[in-house]
Amino acid sequence: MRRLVFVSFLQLVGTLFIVSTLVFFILRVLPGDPARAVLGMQANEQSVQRFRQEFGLDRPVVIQYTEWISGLVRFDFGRSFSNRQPVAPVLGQRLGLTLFLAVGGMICALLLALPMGVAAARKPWGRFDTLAMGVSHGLMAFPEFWIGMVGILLFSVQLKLFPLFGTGFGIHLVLPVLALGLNRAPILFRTLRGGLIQESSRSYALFFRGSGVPERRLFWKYLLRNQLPSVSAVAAIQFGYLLGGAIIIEQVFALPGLGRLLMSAILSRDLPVIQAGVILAALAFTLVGFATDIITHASTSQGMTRGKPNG
Amino acid sequence: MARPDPALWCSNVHVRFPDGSHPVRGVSLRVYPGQVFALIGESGAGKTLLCRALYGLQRFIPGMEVMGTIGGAAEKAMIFQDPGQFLNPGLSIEGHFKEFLKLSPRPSLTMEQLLRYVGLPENREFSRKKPRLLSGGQQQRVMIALSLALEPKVLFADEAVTALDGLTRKTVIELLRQLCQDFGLGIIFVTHDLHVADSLADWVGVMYAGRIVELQSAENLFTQPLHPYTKGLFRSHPGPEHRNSPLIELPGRMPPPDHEDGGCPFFDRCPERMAVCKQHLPEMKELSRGVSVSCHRVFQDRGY
Ligand code: SF4
Repeated sequence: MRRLVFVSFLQLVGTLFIVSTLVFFILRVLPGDPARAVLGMQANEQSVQRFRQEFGLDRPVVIQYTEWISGLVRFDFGRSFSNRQPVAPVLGQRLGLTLFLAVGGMICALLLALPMGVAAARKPWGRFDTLAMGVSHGLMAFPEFWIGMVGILLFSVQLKLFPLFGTGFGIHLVLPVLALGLNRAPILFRTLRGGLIQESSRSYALFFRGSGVPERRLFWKYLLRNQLPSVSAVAAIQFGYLLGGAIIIEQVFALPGLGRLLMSAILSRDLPVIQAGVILAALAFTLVGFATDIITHASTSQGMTRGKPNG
Repeated sequence: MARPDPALWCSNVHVRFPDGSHPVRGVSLRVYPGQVFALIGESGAGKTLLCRALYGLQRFIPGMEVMGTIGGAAEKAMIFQDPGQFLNPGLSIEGHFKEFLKLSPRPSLTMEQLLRYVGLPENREFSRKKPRLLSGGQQQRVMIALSLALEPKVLFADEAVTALDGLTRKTVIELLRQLCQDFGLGIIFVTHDLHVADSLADWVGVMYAGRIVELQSAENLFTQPLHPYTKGLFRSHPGPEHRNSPLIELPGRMPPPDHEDGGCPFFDRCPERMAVCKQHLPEMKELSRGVSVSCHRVFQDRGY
């Protein structure tokens, strides 16, 4: 396990280094002048020059790169071109909302998928299972932004149950979280259902049932518990997708998260913000992968580490 | 002295599946408290399914339909051939006991007592282990102890010692015998190994193609087998020096579980067959107290 953590940490650092290098140089070779994009085409040569000097854009690219990398090590992402504020605090603020959406979406997906998976697996191809499989099939076909838009039309415009907009962490976040959750629940539901059906046909389940362990208890306490590692591994991968989905859903619901910040940064060629945003996304995905590896490792080595068989 | 009520009895039990297979056909038997009833025969004879039907496992086996009458004690427990498969891999030994002790209405024994009884260590280091860290013999002992936690009156042991090596097998057999005496359990013991049956059983039912074809006390059966199939089994069975080798098959094959009822199912393989055997299925007749057989040749020789 210690080795796994060490290797994963090295991988994390390596990935972040490669991503930051790539994003830095790709942004530098793209056509267009960031100074002009920020100041406007009408800006005079003097102010453009001043801007370049202020942000070091007039220096050789290699020097800019070394400064950027050494800043990163100190968690200094530079200053935003557009408002001249340090990037890190703004990013932190925006990240909060995006994480809230992703975590909320995951909780919502789990709350739907766990009881439904157990109920469906108890009677495979029974009435509930057939219905749930049909619904999950349907939900998987629709992207989260579509579900979000239908949600807005139905619950905000028609039924007026939820406000269209809002600030902070309020009731206006219910619909986007639901849209994300509904989009991810089918994968979790199907993984759990399939795993539980397989688990339920194992010999120990027959021994437990035959000895009188009630079906509900067998499912919730034993079959589900044995399936949790594989469901958690899938959930960890899904969390990566949820982060991506949250960035998209922010556009649909006009929420000030990381996605909106990045969109406006890309449009205004605010390079430090774009670079920091991409690194943050890479960090999130690598951490999710890291978590998946650890969960899988823990589940496969379960019971293997303490002692060895004896006669 | 009057005989006690059977711990388990059944009359005319059939097992069917929707695909037309009919692996158990009209079995009747009795198991008395404190005695071991062994079901022997080749694999595919219907022993395991009969056991599962008598236990009541058909509720959990898709498509399995059981007909006939089954009576006796409601407190039953079952142990299986491959205990490693039948213990929950994610649950410690202690976890298993916690669950099983809860299933008994008034548990009179603790986990430590049960572990000690079956000859396993009672310490925490052992009880915290996951099943896969135990040897086959230990797993089977855990399974026996778990079954005892249910305080059964009847214990079903389905090929429970088949997968164990010689010495472990012997000790587990001794343990089962001990159980019979100490707890007054009736044990139904399924095996294809005649030596195991010989060393453990009080009564033996020989199964062939879904039916019991001979039923006798173990003592009589092993000295004076009556049915040609039983005699064939004994002839083809390796001696004690090969007790770990599998049973040598009799020439020919047992009819499949979906065969049509007609004459004697053993007809094609029987060295003693007669014309009547091809047409008429021999019924099970009690020749004397505790001796039942279904064979036209035996009936003819004994004037039935
Ligand atoms: S009934 Fe006939 S064929 Fe069947 S075992 Fe007896 S002698 Fe053989």
